[in-house]
Amino acid sequence: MSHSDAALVLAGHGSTLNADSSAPTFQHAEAIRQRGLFSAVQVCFWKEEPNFRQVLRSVEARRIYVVPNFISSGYFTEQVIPRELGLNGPVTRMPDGREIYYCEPVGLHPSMTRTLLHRAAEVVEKSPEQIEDPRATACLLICGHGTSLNDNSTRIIQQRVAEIRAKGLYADCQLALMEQKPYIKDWRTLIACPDVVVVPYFISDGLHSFEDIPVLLGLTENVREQGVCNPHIEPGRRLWYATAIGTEPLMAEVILAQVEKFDHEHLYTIS
Amino acid sequence: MSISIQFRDWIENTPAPWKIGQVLIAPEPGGVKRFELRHVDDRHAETDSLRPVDDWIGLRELIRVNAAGEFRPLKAAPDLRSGWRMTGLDFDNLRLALDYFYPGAVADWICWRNGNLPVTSYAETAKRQSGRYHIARSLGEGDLEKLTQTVCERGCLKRRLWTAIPNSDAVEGSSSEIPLLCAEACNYFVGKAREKIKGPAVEE
Repeated sequence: MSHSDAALVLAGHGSTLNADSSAPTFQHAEAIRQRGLFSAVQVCFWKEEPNFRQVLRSVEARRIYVVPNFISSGYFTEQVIPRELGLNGPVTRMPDGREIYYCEPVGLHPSMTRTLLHRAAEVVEKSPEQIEDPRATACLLICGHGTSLNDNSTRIIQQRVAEIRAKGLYADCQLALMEQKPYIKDWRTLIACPDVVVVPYFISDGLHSFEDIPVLLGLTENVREQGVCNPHIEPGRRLWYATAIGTEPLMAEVILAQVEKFDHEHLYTIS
Repeated sequence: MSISIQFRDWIENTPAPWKIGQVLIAPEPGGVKRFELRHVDDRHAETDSLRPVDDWIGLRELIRVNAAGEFRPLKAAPDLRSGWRMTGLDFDNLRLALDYFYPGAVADWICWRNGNLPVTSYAETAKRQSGRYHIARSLGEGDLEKLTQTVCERGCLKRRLWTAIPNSDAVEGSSSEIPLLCAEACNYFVGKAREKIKGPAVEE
């Protein structure tokens, strides 16, 4: 389906404290805008401007795809965004006749698996040391937050881990969490492989990916200030650390894939 | 008529230069419709003395922090850095650039001119809040007024339309100015309301 007469709205969380949180949403919007696939590409945020409430006033297309730039479904994607935008389901017809197509959050799309694999391979490629045979020696460790309030994000990572394991590109693939078992800080006992590639399953870089997770992993450098010195080496181990998956340029493809998925699931059957 | 067309009409029929917040919009010399943006304080600055901002990443960086290096959570805060210029913008990119400086402001203003900008009172905004912001509805009238003084009056150039006594007396400003309108308490304000009730909290 052509989208040249439709608009794309990326809805992110944002922050009142720093620009790290909204940066990937801007980054992917700019990349998609440059490709001219939509009549307009807009961003909106919970914590920054334009707010979710405002954004639709700026969008003139009759068909508007809203893609939440969130890592999983939950409070924001199920309650806050629909409430603030005035949505009542996957397809909402506004009083002025515009149709809003509410897509699933980016982190849920199956192409995230490919994106994780790309990110993991790239972080090793860009480092001075390589992994000769990841199928024999390497574990891909996907890190999440983990919270007792909503375990959707953990379930999503578990699914990604299962898909990556099935591909057999790494000797092992595991999930580790900041605040729940399996804990990130226990990675040395969780993982037997000598080589470990860590990718945080977060939408943006910030406190968790720059500070909390490096500390839990035992990295000594200040990731925010100095970047990551890959690989981190300790007796019998090499560890590569990628920053948040949400900052990966391929995430723009995941956003577009969510739009395509929406078309297949909700629009092809209508037309 | 679309917002883009109404905005273009206004530009074509209003004497230049135009102003929005702390940004000055001027037509570039020559017959082609191209525009330059700079800080209002740089109105008379030599063009060569201004640092070019030539892509969206550069623009994001410009508006990210103030001169003291502090993050600007409110884009309409009166602390936009000066000393830069953006050039060669066509109508579409002009509108896009203004949406970086002042998100949604052009659309809100056009809606307001057309009499269809929805204005939402604080009580309605607060009633809609859930989760950790549910408590925002218990902000008393007195505290609400104090908060608009500290957050809005001191920290934001927008003209409030949603308080009992709106500060919208001079919404139009000069005829070549696009006013920054505030149709509803923003989430930054709601966050501050929560802080006022519960004390400062770490953002999640």
